[in-house]
Amino acid sequence: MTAWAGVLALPGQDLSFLQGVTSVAVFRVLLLLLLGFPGALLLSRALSGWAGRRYNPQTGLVVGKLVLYPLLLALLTSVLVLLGVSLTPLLGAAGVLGIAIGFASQTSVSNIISGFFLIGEQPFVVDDVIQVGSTTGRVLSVGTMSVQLRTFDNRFVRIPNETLIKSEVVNLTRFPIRRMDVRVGIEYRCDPAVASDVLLRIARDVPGILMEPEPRVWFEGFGASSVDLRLSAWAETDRHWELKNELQIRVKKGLEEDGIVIAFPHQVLVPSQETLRVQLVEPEEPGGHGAEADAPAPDQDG
Amino acid sequence: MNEAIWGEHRIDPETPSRFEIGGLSLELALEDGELWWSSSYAGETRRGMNEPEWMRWVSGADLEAVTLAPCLPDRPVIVEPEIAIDIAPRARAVVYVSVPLWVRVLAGSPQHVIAELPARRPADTWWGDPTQGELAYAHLTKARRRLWEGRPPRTDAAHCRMELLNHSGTALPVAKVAVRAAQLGVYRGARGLWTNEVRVTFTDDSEGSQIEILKTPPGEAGQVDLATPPRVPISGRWRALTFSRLVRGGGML
Repeated sequence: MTAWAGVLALPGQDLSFLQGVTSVAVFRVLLLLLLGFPGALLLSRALSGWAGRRYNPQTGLVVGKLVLYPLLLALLTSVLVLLGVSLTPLLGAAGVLGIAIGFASQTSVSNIISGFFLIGEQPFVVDDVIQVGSTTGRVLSVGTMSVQLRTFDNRFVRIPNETLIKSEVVNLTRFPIRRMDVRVGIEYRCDPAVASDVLLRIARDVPGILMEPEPRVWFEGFGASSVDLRLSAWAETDRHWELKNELQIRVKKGLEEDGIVIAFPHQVLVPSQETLRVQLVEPEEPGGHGAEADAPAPDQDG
Repeated sequence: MNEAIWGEHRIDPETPSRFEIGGLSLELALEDGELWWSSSYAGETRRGMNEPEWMRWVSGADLEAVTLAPCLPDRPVIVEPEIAIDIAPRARAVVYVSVPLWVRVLAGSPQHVIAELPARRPADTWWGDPTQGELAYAHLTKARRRLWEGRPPRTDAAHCRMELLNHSGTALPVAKVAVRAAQLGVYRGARGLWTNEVRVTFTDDSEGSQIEILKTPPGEAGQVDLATPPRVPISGRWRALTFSRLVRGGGML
């Protein structure tokens, strides 16, 4: 064996594969590692930074990894070749290993591929507020395997990319303005035209509610206990919840001030031909004498 | 016009000063070397509070001298003529619109902007498509064809002369017009407050109409001095959505 094999060998270790390693080869390996490794890092960071500025930070992250890992693999392969290591057995083992890993990592690979689609399609970006199923939160990061959200009650949620590709995702902050709907049921005895005018006046008085698209009131239908109206108004997306809250408070107050009654579920009993007598009973006073003792007996008045 | 409103005022340390500009009521007071200010609008009551809400400005400099300067809004103002106008193809129309004013309060040495308050509470509106557009203020105006005479100049709005040219082959309905207030300066003269003259050329281009801001107010303004330069100075012409005809997304539910 060469001097290198003797230097590197541990007791009992067979390093006969280093027979062909010369000092020149070792020098080349060291040079390759000293220049290649930092070079690969620099190149991947440069391209990652460029892609991040050109597109978005997530794309930059992915580009950086796509450049770095193949470069490191090429570096490792070159080092092995320079050391005289035959790659043929490795390729054979890699093939078998690849099949095994493939079966084991189906979900991970699916997440990674889904991540590429998410980054390319950009249904949302960092800082958007999205709704996936019952989860609503602000996007913290879009990674190769998952998307991370912060909910409004400060919980951390990780959603696999595969789930996002297969699910309906609602981006609540994609557009700069958003409509809010306030549904109000008024009593049947109230005039819906008057109620509409009141609702529109209320909406126009709320600072932040946009004049265009203009607020509208829609007659939604005849409910079981109420005439159902819908007040639709627009505001900046960032102020949606704040203004919806304010609008609803003012709607209740405004309708009351104008004598328009918000209906509540109730039922009217229509008796049959027989008279249905209803007797109001006062609560029992201390001493056990209640008002019902003074009331006429039910059958006296027929 | 109450000329005494605009310019420098000395605040009496013993007595708060009160200024009424349009619907705005502005109070300024000195307290322990701090400048206190509060604002309210006619007809508004602060829910649950009978006392004005004060803001405090602290500076090492002398705060007894306060300057009130007229300025224009930081967003486009969508003016809506009380009666809609139709401009025939290849025709031009000159309209005079009022642009609501903001009051800029400056104090200290060097002067800092303490507050910018609208002279009348503005109404927010959206100009453009619901998916992309810009936040603006809505304003109802008479859009006169001739300058009115004999009326006292307003303190809460500046006059803007707009020349509207229809270079398209179809009639141009002018239901709403965007006045690019941030690019206009405020000029003060004997005939009130004026902005730069604006020339808008409509060519039915989806990119918008061509807008040109002239260097000075029109001749009708008389002798004027620049009170406040534009927030965003611009030279030359540029294109932007100006007429409501090109605003898509109407009829949204």
